[in-house]
Amino acid sequence: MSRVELNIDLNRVEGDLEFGLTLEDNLVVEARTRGTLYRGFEQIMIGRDPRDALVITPRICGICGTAHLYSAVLALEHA
Amino acid sequence: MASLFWLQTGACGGDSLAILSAASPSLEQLVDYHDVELLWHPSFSHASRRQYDDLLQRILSGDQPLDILCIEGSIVTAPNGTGLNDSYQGKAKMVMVQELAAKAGCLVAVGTCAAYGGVHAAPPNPSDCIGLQFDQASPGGLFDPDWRSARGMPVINLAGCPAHPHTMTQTIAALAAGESLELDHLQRPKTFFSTIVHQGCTRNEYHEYDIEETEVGGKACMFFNMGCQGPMTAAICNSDLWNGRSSKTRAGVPCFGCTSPDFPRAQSLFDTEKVGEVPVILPAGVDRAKFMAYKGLAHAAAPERVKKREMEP
Repeated sequence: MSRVELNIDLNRVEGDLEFGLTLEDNLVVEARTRGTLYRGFEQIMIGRDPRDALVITPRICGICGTAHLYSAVLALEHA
Repeated sequence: MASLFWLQTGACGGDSLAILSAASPSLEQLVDYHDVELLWHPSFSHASRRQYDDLLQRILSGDQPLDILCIEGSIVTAPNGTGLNDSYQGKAKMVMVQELAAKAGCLVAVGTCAAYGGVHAAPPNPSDCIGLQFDQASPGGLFDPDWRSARGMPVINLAGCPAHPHTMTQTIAALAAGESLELDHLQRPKTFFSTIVHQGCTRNEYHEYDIEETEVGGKACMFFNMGCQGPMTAAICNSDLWNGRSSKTRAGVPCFGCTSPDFPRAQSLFDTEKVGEVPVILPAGVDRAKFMAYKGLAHAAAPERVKKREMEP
């Protein structure tokens, strides 16, 4: 039985996500994703003025930052 | 030809997005007319991972010269100084930065995160983030204050969240041409950091006459009540407009001071912290008492058209 470990890069999530596969006899027996970056936005927001979310949450991602901003706006409006 | 390698560390990638909107010069013009060879950018390069790993090896072995190393993102040092909260194939990016920097002609911190730690370093700084050569306002980050690149330069801090598109492309063009840059005490190029955001703000008449908003959505000045950092922040936002058209204050929000080493400041970003009537943070060097006296006189002199917010900012 041959066991192969593969690491596969994802060309999304700006390189911060990796795939790991374990194959036995050419069959995938294990598959996992690895988030390789942790920054802690939820922890940073605790204790801050709620409106600060309008500035802080878009910094989660430069591409989809507006989506986080929109969600923050909805959260503030429904609060 | 100046070779450029762009590495993202604890980043959102916002500076990469911002550089795409540069016009003078544009990113394409940097490559076509300013002699920049873009070895690698995580979003703009199409090479496979094997080619990327091979390129890294060639840079580290010295086979591939590296003139300009751009780092985008905070330097993540957690957990326990290993830097593994930000890794590439099990290796800490922090270590990759150190290895590449040893080979680089010059090292550019793109954005406030790479310069000073930025948003990820805000309390409680969950991943122990720092900047390349500063830890917020304190000299010394991943590299000591006296570290110099192969070309004898300290880390060049292109502060901003994101950095201004032209601050980035014009700095890269200057470095590719072999020019030296005069840096301020925070190691930001003076060319782009000797103007304050207050200069060129279209709400200036409201500021002059101390007509101040207390809520978002108004036309008047946001300095006294709404936390505008414009008078205290070095950046070209209100002189070289974003996308040639806009800025924070033109869009109706206060300047958040994103080129400052303590961005984002600990106080509420939409409020001006005051002691009684007096803002805690005033423009650098101003005499507090005289400033308040002048504002009182200015308010008393305000024309009706300004008090009634008839002037469009």
